[in-house]
Amino acid sequence: MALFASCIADLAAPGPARAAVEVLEAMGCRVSFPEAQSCCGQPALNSGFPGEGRLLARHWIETFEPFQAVVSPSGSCVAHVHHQFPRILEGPWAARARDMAGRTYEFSQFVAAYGEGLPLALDATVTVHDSCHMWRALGERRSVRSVLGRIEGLRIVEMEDADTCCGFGGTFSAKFPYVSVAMADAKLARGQGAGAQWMVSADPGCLMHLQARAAWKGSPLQARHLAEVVRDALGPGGGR
Amino acid sequence: MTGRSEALQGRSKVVPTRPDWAAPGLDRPPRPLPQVTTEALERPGQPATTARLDILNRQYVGPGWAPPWSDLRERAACIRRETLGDLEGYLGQLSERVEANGGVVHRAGGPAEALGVIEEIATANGVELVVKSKSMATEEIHLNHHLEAMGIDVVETDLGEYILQLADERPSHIVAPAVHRSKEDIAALFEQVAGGPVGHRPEDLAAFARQRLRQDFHRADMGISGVNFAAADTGTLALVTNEGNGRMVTSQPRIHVAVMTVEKVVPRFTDLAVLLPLVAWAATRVPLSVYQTLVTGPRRPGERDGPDQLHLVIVDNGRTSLLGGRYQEVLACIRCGACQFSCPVYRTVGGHAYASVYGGPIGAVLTPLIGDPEAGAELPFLSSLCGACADACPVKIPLPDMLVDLRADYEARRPDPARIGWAAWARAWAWGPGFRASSRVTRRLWSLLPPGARAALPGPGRGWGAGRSMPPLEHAGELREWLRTRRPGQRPAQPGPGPAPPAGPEGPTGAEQLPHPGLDGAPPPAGPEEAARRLSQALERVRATGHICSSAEEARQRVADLCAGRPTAIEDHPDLVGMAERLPVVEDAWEAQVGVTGVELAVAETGTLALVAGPGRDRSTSLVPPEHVALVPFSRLVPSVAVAVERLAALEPRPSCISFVTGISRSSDIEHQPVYGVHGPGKVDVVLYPG
Ligand code: SF4
Repeated sequence: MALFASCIADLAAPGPARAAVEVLEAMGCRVSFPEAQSCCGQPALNSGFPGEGRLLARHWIETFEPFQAVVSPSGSCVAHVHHQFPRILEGPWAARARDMAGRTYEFSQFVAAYGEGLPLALDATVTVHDSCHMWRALGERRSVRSVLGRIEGLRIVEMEDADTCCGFGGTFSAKFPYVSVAMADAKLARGQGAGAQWMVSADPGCLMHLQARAAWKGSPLQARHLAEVVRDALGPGGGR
Repeated sequence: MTGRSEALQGRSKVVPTRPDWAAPGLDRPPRPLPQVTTEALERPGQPATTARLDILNRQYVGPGWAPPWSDLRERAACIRRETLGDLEGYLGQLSERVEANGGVVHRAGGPAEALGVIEEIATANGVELVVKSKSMATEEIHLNHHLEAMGIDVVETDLGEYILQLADERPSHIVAPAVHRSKEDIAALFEQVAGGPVGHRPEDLAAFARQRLRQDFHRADMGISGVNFAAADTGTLALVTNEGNGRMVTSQPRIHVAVMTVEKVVPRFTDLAVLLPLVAWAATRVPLSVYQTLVTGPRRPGERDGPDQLHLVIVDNGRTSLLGGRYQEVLACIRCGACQFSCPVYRTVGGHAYASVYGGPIGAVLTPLIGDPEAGAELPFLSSLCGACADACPVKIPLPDMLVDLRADYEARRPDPARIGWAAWARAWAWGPGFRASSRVTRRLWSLLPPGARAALPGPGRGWGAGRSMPPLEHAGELREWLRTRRPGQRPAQPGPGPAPPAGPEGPTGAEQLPHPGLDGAPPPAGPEEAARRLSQALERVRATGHICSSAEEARQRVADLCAGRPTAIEDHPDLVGMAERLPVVEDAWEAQVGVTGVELAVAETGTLALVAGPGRDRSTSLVPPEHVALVPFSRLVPSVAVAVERLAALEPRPSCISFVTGISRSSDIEHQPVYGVHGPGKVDVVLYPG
């Protein structure tokens, strides 16, 4: 199986991807990391540059086609592969895109399906941010909670509007920074209101944005990736 | 100039407090959207508006789609796409039918033409006072301003729209136009026009507006309405309201002008059985709005009320040019406003911040596509692409994909220097070594920059740095180093069968074939008694009262008791023969305290009464008096809206006006708190008996 880390992991947030590798290995998977991988192209497409988005989509397909399965700790990128690749590519490329979509999984989906036996325990109180592209474009609404539910000692407290956007939105966060930040504030306030220590999500984009805002404001709430939480919950015989 | 309208008295005393981007008739944003939206965050009252919208989103959109509504949604998605497949054909059929029914049809390419048509009608008929019911099409052509410039008094009669007219603002939501105003705001506004104190509870404020608007309904020469749906096969115009102003506007003045945009047409009268419930459910999670007015032509010989003239103005404004293109589906919209409630950006900044007639996701898609493309060019970027709107939409318009495509159109139209950057970036990153090199460079540069300078770089970083710590790009490349150092050799592994891939987005599924589900999901009532019981329960839910009597005589006595000797208007209905002798009847509904009617049909699942106009059967009887009593034999009960629409479709001759009444007149325009008895009756009694 191949890991698609996402460009955010490559450039700014290696933690979740590292954790994902450790968890997948603890599950007994042998994880490959194709060196040619870069970005799924979502930033270009969503900024109004579909040509560039197509170029990167084709590169992505070429990079990952040799593998039987692809797992990524970025829900938004996986949703992009599933929903946008077949929509923006044409001819044989569209068929190859559909084929890849059939074997590209978001991390929590994979762990929910195959990580049943992992010994997991962690003392923490968390709330879940249902990231938009996983929730809607990918239609995945259960896996994050189901994985968290297997961690002994972990308490999930639900916040209001858990499935409302955090305000990241890729280039939106830079084009409309004040609106984007106001949306992050609403999200963080709801997490805090629920009494959580951590806000857990399966999307590095949302997490980068939420963590950056939390840090700026000195908020006690931490935004953490599901993979890191699961890695921390692995018993001593786990992935280390 | 406001001498003729009572409702507009004192309007000149209002000191507007709105920002310039909330003004009616705005053509384009006064400043770039990032700036307007930032100002919107600072607008007094915005946090309260956001909190209100959050509640509405949870209430109306949060529950999502479950049967039977998910089935209705599939059917509606198909009906709307079927319409767009032959829009011109259906418009032709509609025009033909409307003319055959005695109406006059005017096609208008753009706003100027539409205004010209309406101006001509007004001038030819010496119109001085116009009452209007809510219509986004007339907002789009800026009709009020035009008529006022002609010296005509134009009065918005929807409570929310009336508030906004006094405040000189645009609607900030398609179906909840004044959702951004608090009741204190509204009270202060009403006190300015009244020149004295008014009560501050929503009931007081609604009563104040009701009283001022009432005489205008009675005296207006012309009523202008929008159209929710226009059935091509019968030439019927359907209008949905909750307050009753739509019924007033289409029944009291001698001229009725209905303004619709081209896409409002639907193929068949029976499609209303799907669309009327669905638009109410999508917008406010009720199975049916209080009133649906189905207008098929002007008043007929022998009828005592209703307009002498019916004009239908069909406005294109750039829409037909979308047919056959990738944005065609946006014309499927039924203007329910659900996408607006669902949108977190809309809820955060409010509808005015879009600086366009239509705000929210539908506005961000539609505005750049109709009229002046430059006016709304930036709007597709005002979205985080979270996708909530696509889930909320009752006709499954892929709004987020359209926003993405419109962004591409925007960039393709202009020589953006960023294009070169994106092209170079994509070329480098589509090549393994190129990506790794860029990662190394990023890390080096980032580490050299002092933290304070990072947010000051040109490019997206500057926006990001406003209120957020900068991303830790000094970590660039670390992941790969870690992977290399701990695990030098790499081989593809052999994974087992993976989990089933998540389903792709659903498309319409040929749902015309599906049976129409009942709206309450229950099996049809077993017999007339059960139907009557269900009807009574449904009436209770909409604040009306059912009285089940054991005989015709008992029922008639009950009707007389309910009228209690007060002046009563009564219609000439076969079920009411001999009833008039037992009541203190007055001829003019405006002088009556109670209106007594029969019904054509009554719908058990929703508590809906279907009333038809005809000689001796006035539109006003069930509308104008503050109380309405309906006498209904069991034989007139039908189980569902679907059956009712089918039966009404078969009526020969087709009545000039059919009114669906579900409960008592209601408005939610003041902080979304319901108030009752706004323009229509505040008390409805339905007396049922076996027969
Ligand atoms: S786009 Fe869909 S959700 Fe939005 S107003 Fe139109 S029909 Fe309603």
